[in-house]
Amino acid sequence: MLRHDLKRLASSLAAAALLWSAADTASAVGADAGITVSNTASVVYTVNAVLQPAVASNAADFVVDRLVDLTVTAIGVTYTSVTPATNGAFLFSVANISNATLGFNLSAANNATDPFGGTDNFDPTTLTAVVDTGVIGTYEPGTDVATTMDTVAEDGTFGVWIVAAIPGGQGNLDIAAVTLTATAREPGIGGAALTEEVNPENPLVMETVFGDGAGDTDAVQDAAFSDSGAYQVASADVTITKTETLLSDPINGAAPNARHIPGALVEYVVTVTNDAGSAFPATTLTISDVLPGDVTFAPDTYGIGSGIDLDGAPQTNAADSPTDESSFAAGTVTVTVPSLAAGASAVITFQVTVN
Amino acid sequence: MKHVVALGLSILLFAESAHAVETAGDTAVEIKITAEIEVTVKTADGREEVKRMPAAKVPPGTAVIYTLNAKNTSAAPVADVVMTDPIPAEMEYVDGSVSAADARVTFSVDGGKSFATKESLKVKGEDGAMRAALPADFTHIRWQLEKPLAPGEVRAVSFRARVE
Repeated sequence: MLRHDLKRLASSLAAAALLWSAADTASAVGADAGITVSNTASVVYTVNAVLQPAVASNAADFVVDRLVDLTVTAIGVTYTSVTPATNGAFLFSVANISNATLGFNLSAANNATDPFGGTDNFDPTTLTAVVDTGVIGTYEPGTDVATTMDTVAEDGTFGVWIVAAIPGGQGNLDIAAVTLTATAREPGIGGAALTEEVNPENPLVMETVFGDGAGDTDAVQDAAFSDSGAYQVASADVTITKTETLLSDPINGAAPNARHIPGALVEYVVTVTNDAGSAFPATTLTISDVLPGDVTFAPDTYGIGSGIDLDGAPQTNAADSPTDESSFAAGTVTVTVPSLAAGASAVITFQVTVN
Repeated sequence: MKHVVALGLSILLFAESAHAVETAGDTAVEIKITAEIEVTVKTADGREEVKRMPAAKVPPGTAVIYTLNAKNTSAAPVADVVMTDPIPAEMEYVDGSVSAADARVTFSVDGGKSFATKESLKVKGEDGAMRAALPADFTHIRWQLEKPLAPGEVRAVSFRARVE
């Protein structure tokens, strides 16, 4: 800025250095904390129309105080998608907009309010706030491990991940909202908490003043700021249903005359469905049906030694993978389906007789 | 990063060059300067009151009130009193804040080499063309008192500047 250059020139000249001082860029957040601002006035006058020597005043000095201000901003503009039983990472940016170098403590917390307008309906098992180091913008589990930022210059920014452990079996599209709070503190490893002096009296001592606004879950002027993000579970939503149809009995013959009497033939249909809204195919589904003691599995419904049908394909009763992945043993029908795409169903059919 | 602080030494530039600056005490006029801030305090009955305090709590953005007091400490009147104050490099003059009673106020945009009325000052803009000076361009303020100072008389002038 022109004015600054002129002032520096004046100052340099006055100091008789007659050399340019090193280029000195003003900070975007204003005067640095701790510098002394000095001001000396002067007066000239005449006595009996004779000009007298200029007189200098005292120096009115004060030290610029430390204005603590920071922001936390969620970088993600939508959910971090995460599968059950894995860790999800949501990125935030923390900015030191104070006029001094500071350290920052970080904390992650559950939040019941989804910043993206959905409904928060579960809490991750654990939450950890870690600094984004290494490849910026990529969560690296072995690298991004620091839980505090010890030294951040004025106008400095850094990234923070909230790493959330999503429980196994968490339902598809479930939402967990989280909040990152960054709290400014003295710089350096283990820097002390900041305190604000409300009514300082000594102009020559640097005081600390809190100038931060209120974030999602923190108050104004508390040296902390917070913002929220959320995770959405991307999973397969599998449902299973079972129906029973009476086919015939030895006395009355076929349905609709048949009754559930000993010797009656009953067909069970088990339907396994991966919901159309699922984010992923469900894989390696194992369906087990333990038959009640009052019925007997019909072993040869679809051919000799083949009493189970899967989607129209007869399955052997023997546990004889890789011929097929179905079996009947110890009173239990077991069927394995390799994969079910979103919206797909597997239909298992078998028959029993009433004892 | 530390700013180079423009100390009062810069008055050498705008003092009439033939005269050395002397310390107050053996001169006919003394000049003093104070730096104050305004704080809003709650009175006992709950009202809010603006009080002036020494400039102790001064984060960036704070407006500081500088008050200059010139006192005739001699037994004879003094005339042609001219008070000059540099605006510290870390501060910006608050437009319209200068007190001008019984004084002709001029500003400098060139480090105190020349002074003119606020309206007539021009600076070179970033595009190279001359433009009207803004408060942020001012480097010094000068008060030329219109009346002599009688023996013992004190004249106060003031202005505000904001910490950048």
